Amino acid sequence: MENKETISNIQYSLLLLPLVTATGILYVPSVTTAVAGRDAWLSPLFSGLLGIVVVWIIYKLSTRFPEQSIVEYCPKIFGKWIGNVFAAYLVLYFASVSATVLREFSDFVNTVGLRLTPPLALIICMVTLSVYVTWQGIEVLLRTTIWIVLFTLFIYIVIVILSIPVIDLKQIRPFFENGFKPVLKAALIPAPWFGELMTISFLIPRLNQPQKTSSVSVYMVIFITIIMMLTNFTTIGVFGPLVSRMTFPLYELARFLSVGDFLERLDPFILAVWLMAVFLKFSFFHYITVQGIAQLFQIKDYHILIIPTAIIIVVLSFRLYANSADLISFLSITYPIYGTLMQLIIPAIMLVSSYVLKRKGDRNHE
Amino acid sequence: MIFLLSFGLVGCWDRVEVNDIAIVMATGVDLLPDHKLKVSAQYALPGSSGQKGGGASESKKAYFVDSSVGVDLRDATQQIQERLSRRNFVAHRRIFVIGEKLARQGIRPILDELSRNPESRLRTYVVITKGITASDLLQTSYPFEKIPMEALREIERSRVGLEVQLKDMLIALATEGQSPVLPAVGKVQLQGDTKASFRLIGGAVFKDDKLVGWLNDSSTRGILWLRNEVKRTVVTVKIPKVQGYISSDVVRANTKVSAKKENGAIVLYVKSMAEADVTENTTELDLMEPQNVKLVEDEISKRVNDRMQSTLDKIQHEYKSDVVGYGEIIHRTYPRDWRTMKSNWETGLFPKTKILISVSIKVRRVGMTGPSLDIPEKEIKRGAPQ
Repeated sequence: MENKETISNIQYSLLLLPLVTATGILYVPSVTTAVAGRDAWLSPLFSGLLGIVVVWIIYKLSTRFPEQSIVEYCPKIFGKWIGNVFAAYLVLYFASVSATVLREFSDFVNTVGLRLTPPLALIICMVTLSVYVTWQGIEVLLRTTIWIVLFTLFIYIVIVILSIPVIDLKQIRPFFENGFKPVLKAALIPAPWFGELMTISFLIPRLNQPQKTSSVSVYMVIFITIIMMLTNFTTIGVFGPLVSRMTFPLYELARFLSVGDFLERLDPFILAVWLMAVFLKFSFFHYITVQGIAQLFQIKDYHILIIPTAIIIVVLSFRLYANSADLISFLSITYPIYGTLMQLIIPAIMLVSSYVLKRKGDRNHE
Repeated sequence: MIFLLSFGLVGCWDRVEVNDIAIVMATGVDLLPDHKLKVSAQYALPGSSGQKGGGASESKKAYFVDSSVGVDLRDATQQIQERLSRRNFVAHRRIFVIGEKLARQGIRPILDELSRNPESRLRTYVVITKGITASDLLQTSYPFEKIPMEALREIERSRVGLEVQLKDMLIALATEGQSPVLPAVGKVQLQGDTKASFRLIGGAVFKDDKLVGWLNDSSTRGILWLRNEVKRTVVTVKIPKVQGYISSDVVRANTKVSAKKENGAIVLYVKSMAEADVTENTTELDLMEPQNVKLVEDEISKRVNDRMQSTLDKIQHEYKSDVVGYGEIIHRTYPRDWRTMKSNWETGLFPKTKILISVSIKVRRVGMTGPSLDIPEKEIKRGAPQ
């Protein structure tokens, strides 16, 4: 086989982090507080539970079909025709997520930083990078992951620590003013970000220690949940009722902080690490879109697909959303439903049918 | 490849050089009689805004002010921009000044731009002018600082009066049943200086987004006590039946507010605690004597209590505006009751709510001397005054 690339569990778990949080921590605080108000910091807890369910389903499927990705075993479960339709649909979904990430990236940079730079210029920079990384393969992506994620985490922790003095705990109370329902409702919004973890289906076959995958994945989901909750908590604690009206609360927070009067405006740091994290997320989704297409059409060498796919994603990123309001309404209204369908319902159906129809992958590689 | 990519690093659409921007230090907005807005901006002049190089000559000002008229902030700013050789840059704006007239009409219409513009910061301080227009205030110079509005920022930060950032004001406006109180700035004649200057003169009380009245310096400090924002203050008291005064620094002040339901009505308890260090004693009392210290403690506590009570009376009954955020305390303690209360809180319920204040201030240190050193031994009053 042409891909003998292997992944260590540390690389794998560190990649999960930007996969969810890169775009999540930017948009989630404002869209969840819009629904749950000051209780929104609790919402990611329930989204995290959904995330664990998704990860568990994918893991179970992977144990039934070792060394195969979701696109590959889909036809094995449902038969050639239906299975391939589902698989194609999944690949389209990966492409649309890639396009959304790209759009989130260009929207954010255009709003907060480079207002006159054409989005296409930004997008070309990002896509050039991801084409390069995808070309080199998943191993290169994962090696960059370690450093980027550690650096990102460091900056994130600094931001949170610096905001402790300005957090007003009074903004958090009263708890459950409008009952528990809005909290659960708001939990649906970050859920698809956790659901994007279904893409681990492409990573699991390459892990060098597959026996630890399930525990590592669950730990990471818990860790990501904590980060999401912490982000919501700090932004609500500092800005109170204003969070739901801000587009990028975490970024506002970085702008607001000041360390002893001489270190102010930490936003460039956030921008820098965020760009790196988004690069990881986007490259990974670009990579799995390419892999998905290759597996769907049984193309031996996926390299010829990289640039055409990149072009399709760029075009999609422009065509999918009319403006940033459209993007946000997609993220807060459409995506929870669309995401649940793609990430939870379809894999769940696959898992159930694989048991019912007694379909199993052959372990010919072990 | 690397060679090609390096072009991406240097080329930049939004490149702005330092010598292409006009740094706005403060913006002021006034309402004109024809309902248009007059926006004034105080710019820092490059090359002369450094802290050093004392003895600034009068001919070379470190700032200049320009203003223009428009239907909204952006419109007016654009009018100024068209006259400037450099691009307006508000990321370093320290102060946002709102004219008294505009404040009376309601400030909400002008606030949007301040948070929507990605350059503008939520840390900017907000003040209301009293007796003058915002554009006049920006023209006024200040003896210590080369850029006058820098002085205003330093004064606010020292927390002698109110310290209100844009964020705080927006939260107060966004919270139902709460109104902002902003520092008021007026023109004064500094003694020994021919030119007029400015200072903080108390607070401007809002109801929703409209200015409804003023608080004097003493009531403004009352607000600080009620909101638990006192950092350090000086309280001077007169002990009954004793000649002279005693001044003390009040530190470590802490005010706790709690809500309790009593016979179906919600009562608020305001408990203030602080420590006092006596710094001046012009009486004949020996402060080494515990009973004398007790007298001073009682008097200081009473003084602070009176100040809080009179401030509370003013905002509860005269202005009917909850600038201290006590509605939120009820909201937190009794969220269910608050649901029916919140729409009628400020006008209907807040003035009627019973608020009980108790102050306990302990004297910790009496300074370097017991009795004053200059008093003859026989005149020192060791015991309690008769």
